[in-house]
Amino acid sequence: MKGPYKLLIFPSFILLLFLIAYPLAFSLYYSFFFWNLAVSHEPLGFVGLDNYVTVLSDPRVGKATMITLILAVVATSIELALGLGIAVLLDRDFRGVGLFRALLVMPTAIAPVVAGLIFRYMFYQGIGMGFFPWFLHTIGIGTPERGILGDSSTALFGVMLSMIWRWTPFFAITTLAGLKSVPVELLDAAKVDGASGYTLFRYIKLPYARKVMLIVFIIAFMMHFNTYDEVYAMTRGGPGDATTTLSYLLYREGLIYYNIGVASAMTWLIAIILLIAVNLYFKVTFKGEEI
Amino acid sequence: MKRDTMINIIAAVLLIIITVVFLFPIYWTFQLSVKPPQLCLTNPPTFFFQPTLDHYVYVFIDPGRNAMNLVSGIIESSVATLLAFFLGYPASYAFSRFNFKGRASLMFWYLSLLLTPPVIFTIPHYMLMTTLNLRGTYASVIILFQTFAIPLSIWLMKSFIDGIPREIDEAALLDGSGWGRLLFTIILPLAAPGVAVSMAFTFIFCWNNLIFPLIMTEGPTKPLSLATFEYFTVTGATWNYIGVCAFVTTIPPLILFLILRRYIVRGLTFGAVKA
Repeated sequence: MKGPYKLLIFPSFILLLFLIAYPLAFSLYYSFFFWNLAVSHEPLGFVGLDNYVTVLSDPRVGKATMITLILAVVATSIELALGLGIAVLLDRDFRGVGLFRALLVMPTAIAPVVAGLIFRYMFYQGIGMGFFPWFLHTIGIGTPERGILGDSSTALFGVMLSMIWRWTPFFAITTLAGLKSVPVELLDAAKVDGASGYTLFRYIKLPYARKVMLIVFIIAFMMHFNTYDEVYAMTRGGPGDATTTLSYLLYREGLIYYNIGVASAMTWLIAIILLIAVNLYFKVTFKGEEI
Repeated sequence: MKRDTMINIIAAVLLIIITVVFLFPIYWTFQLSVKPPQLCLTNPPTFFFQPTLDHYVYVFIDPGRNAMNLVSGIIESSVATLLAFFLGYPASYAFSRFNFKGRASLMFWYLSLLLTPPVIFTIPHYMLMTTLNLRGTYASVIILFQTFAIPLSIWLMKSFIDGIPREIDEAALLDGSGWGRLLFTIILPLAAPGVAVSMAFTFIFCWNNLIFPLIMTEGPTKPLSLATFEYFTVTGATWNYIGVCAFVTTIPPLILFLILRRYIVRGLTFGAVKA
């Protein structure tokens, strides 16, 4: 069809362009200046690539990158595995399975920041005790003196657990949708040929679900890479830097320390990592496909 | 057949256990919101007690410290969703119907915004909105929500409009209908269920967002989820009120998820996976 597509797209496009291009241009420009709002309202001078050098040589940036990657890789892998297991159970056909499908997805609906608050309460250890430390003590596992979120060796695990809780059901229902996408005729034909439950799953259903699982894995991986809300709610990046993700580091550098120049350089480094990841997502999701 | 029944029983038992584990934190938040204060953090935990509505009264009615936050959150998310509809619906129609140069790249550009960490946009917008004196207004949050609300609603609505036969458009155009009439009085009623689903998901994404309200809102314009943090003070946390705010914040998305059951997979994968 032919039609006034420019006119129809233009309003949303122009607003988005402003909302996106303005910050990126701002960051690019001021990444070459020394500018700390705590020191002055105006940039204090052109510093060339100094901010980039600062960012790349700052051990905290390296550490935050590591923490972010560990969080993303470990949590997303666990979610994928657990989600597949639950999807296999949900894929069975018995009365009431629909109820489980509807109920299990609930954690996915919850705001990440609220999930963080809930888990902060459950992890609490101090004057009184939250559910998790009580549970662990009861089954004979000790917790650090300052609590799981208060100890730098366990805090990341705590943040991860709240993410696993929220994301596993998401993997489960999307994987289930993949398993269910096998055409009925194909399943029937395989059954006539005498394929057993495991063979059906391994050689027919799983290959069909693979693409969905891959798409979902990448979406989840990037959302984990962007983790901010849970950290804000649970630990504020601490103790020390133990749970400081890249997103949180950038926020802290810019809006708490007011280091606009350095934060701007960091913005661009994150944007470049992201560009690579997004391209990968498109390659996988839309390979040779009409959209 | 018998073996199958056995497996189903085992699956059902496992699912009951898994469901209980995954819903427990939600239940635990609810019980916190109706628990007497001295029982919040007992060792061992108190499972049975006389529930009370005092905390709800305190938070929303008397003195109702956070009643306005609840209203603000609803206003911000609803208006942002409506704006995303008005800006996004024509675009989603164009992406669905017209083949033009750069269409795929433009759609990818919209989609990439959904995967971008929002924090990279915050500092410049924070400074701009401060200069314009817009911080602490609904408008600032509603505008910033558009960074993800527009792309999300466009991708979701497009996936539904794709399902409407093009013959309808062609027939209407042959009958001399203009584009405005075609979009809003012919296609929109047909796409209404899909548009409603898309808007519901857009609303949930706005409602669950933290970072934009965090940098833009103050006092009464804070949404409820953000206002919750006022109950953490140097002398400790008032867990009951935190429980009330957290639980009430989860209610709208939970209800929408129950209603939208069939579309959850599509909504959360931005239309990429149609269950």
